Amino acid sequence: MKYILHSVFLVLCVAFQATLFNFLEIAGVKPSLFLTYVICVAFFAKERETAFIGFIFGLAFDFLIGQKIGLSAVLYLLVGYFLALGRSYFLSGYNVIVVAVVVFLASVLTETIYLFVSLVWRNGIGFWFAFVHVIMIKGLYNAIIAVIDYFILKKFALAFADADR
Amino acid sequence: MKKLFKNKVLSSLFAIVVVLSIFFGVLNAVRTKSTWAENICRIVFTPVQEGAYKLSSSVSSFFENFGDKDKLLQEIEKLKNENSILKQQVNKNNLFKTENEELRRILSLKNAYPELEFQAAEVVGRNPSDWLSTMTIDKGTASGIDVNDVVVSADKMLVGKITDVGSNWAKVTLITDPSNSIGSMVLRSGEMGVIAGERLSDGSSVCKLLYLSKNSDIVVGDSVETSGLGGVYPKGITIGRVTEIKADLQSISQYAVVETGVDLEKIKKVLVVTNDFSVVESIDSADIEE
Repeated sequence: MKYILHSVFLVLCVAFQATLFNFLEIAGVKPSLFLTYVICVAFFAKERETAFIGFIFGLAFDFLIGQKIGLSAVLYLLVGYFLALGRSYFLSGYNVIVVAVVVFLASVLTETIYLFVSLVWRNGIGFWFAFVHVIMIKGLYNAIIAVIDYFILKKFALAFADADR
Repeated sequence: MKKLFKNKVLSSLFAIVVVLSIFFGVLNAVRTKSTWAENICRIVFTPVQEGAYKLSSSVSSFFENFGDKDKLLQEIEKLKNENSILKQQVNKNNLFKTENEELRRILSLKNAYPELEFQAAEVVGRNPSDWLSTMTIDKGTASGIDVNDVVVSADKMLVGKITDVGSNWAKVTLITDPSNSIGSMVLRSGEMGVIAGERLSDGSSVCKLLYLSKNSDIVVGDSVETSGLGGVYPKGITIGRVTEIKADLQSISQYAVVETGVDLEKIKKVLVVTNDFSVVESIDSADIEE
């Protein structure tokens, strides 16, 4: 059941990342629905599950949008795993603001790594310009989107927990 | 570091990441076109993206239009105003054009008859509901106009005569007025008659050329002009054309319906001949001789 929910979110991310959010850009920047979802899943799922979801969402992102196959897949896998691990260690209780802050920081970190690795392939992006004008804004935008993801996932997580009991 | 690698999960993760990185690194290095996995992914998701794109385009365009509604309304209002101003300007230009043409005709008439003294005047009032066919012009005695002065159009068509005058106005009794009796003749045959106005039951007025003999040589289309008899109207001013010939009630004579050469309902500018009649007559005689 959980994986049906993840599949639905994957379809929604694919459907809207390159379509609807082209019309909803903020300062010329779109959020990363794939990454935001993976980070939000880390608040509700265990490390392995989040890592797997991260890998699948990252791979889908690479296939449909990304430049280098596997870059996002590996990156999201790591992000998902370590966030879920960190959440279980450091966050016993959290609310939507904590989620938004974590999504912002995780987004900035992930996108910075992505950009740094991309520079190895010499795609000609100015690092500081991209960091200030794209990554920071994207982090904020992801944090806003994460609020929606969080509430939906929370509802389903509670439902799944009830079902498990 | 050793501790980290002793953790089975983390070391597995590390191994997986390394393997994946090598695999994807090699894949990206050797890849020249899309892999089968990418193709399948695109085949599956392209219709989804297409649908989403159409949907989001519609939503976006709706909101864009919604946001621009006030702007568009303002634009429409502005264009309407501009259109109205331009229409007024076109109407004004048309009026100026008509006026200009009329003034040119007047000027050419003055040039053609330098001996005649014309006083141009503008029609400022009409009496359409009156049984008398009259109109008021904006010039009077101050401009040298007097009673019985002849009024013509710029085309030298007879309009009427001055029957009342003030310092800055004059009343013109039109040739269609029943009170008028104008000595006239058919230009082609020289047949003489009298033009009199007649008011019809529908309110319109016509001119009739009366007292034509039963066997008079007159046909539809003949031009009728003043004969100079009677002393008021000078000779040779065109009145109009014959449109109909009818026998009178007693059948001893006939009359012709004459259509005036000028549209008396629409004329806006007229010329009043302020010359002495004899001068006008001599000019007209010279004109005929030519």
